[in-house]
Amino acid sequence: MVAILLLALFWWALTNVFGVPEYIFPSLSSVAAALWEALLSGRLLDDTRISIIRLLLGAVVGIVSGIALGFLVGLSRTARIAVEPLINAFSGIAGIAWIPLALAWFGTGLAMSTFVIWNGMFFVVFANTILGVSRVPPTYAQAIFTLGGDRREVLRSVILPGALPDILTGVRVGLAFAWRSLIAAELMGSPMGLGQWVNEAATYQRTDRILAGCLTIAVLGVLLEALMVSWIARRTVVRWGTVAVAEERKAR
Amino acid sequence: MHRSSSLMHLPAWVVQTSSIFGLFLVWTVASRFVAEPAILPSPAASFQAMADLIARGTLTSAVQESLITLVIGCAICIICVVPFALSIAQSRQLAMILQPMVRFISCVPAIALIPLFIVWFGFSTKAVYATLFYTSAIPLLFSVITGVQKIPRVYADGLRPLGAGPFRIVRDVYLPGAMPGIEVGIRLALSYGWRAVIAGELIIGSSGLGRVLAQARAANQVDQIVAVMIAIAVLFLIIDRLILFPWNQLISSRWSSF
Repeated sequence: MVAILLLALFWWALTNVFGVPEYIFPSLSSVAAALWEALLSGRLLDDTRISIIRLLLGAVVGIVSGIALGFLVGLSRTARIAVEPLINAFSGIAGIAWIPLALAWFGTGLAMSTFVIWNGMFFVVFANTILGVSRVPPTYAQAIFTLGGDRREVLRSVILPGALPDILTGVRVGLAFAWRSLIAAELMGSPMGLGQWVNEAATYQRTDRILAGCLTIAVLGVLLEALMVSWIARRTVVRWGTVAVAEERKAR
Repeated sequence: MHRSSSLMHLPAWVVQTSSIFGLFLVWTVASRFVAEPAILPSPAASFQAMADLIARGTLTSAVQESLITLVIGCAICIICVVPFALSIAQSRQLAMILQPMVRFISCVPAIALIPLFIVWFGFSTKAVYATLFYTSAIPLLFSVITGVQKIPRVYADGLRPLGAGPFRIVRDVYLPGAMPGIEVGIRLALSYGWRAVIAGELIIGSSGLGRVLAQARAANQVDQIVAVMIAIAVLFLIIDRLILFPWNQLISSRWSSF
């Protein structure tokens, strides 16, 4: 909180005391004004809604496919070794470099943004699910088998809770990647959306609107992470004690 | 079950080569099935496009431009950020004030800032450098600060009564002690930086692989798009494996005391 205030003070000093011209770095008040204007015209809400719908759609597809395939692959050692080079190769190009191909394949519609977001998330979630599943000590699973549990029970009561911390890490990183890829996809062609708003601001050289857009994107990114990941984490892994409270302490 | 246990005896590289081979097989079959090179070119067509781009010199010069941008940009970043981080980490209060500020700034994705960089620097390589710097500086800063904070205070406190000045302490305690953190930071800076360079070039269109990608997209040459993507992935793996890994080994063994 103090840090944000200091940052705002620094920003204010940059424009008002050191006299950095408005068109290079707009002052705090003009960015606020741009934000207010966009809010009143309804443009901001429309763009935000569209971006969030796109993100959620892509994220659901990415998370579900990543976790499901990660479980399938993570349970077998051979499959784990086999997919390793593929994950490496694809994580090298994941995200933004796919956008031109996605534009060629899907045009600028919802399919394109979903593909780009899926692509930004999938490999991180997939790799982390594999890691999590493979890190569960086999003795736990064997204990359930000995007690007469079947494969489904082992999956549900051992592997899933054991792998969940890693899966959540994957989802957290993946969401950050996805948000970035979505903004890039919107910058490069999707109609509407926050990225497109920033892009249009750039064509008119409206730095105040660019920064207002950047701030909105940043705040939404933090909120999404808090809502989607930290909330689930608090309800599951932290409550189960799978993750030490160290993470909580670090957050504070 | 039996099959998987017999597969287990295969060495890892056999399994891994065959999975890469499998990927190309699936790709070939899929491109046959789609039968539309404007949507999914076959691997052969993509490599042909790559060979053409290399023969014309487009790809080689683009790779050169992108790599030079990455190396110079990361060097600037390291030269600016590492001393800054080392000096911040000296004082706990300063680190406590600055860290959340930087963390807040880092919430703004670099991609969203590219339009601002374009307004500042025009459609030039400078804007790519700005994107790279912004992306790489933050993980580097945090890694170095963490690296310094992991050094037991006793070492610095032990040197001070022996008459060591701040310069001596930085050279003999903080720099070697924070080396693992600096290493991690540089590794992150290079791998995030590579993506930032590609993204920046793609959107700004000034030079390098990103521009080739943007041009191929504008001309709707999907085989060229795929060719450039393969080049990007291969270069990323080369940067990650061949350069950073041995270098890591070298540095950790040199200062193995930590």
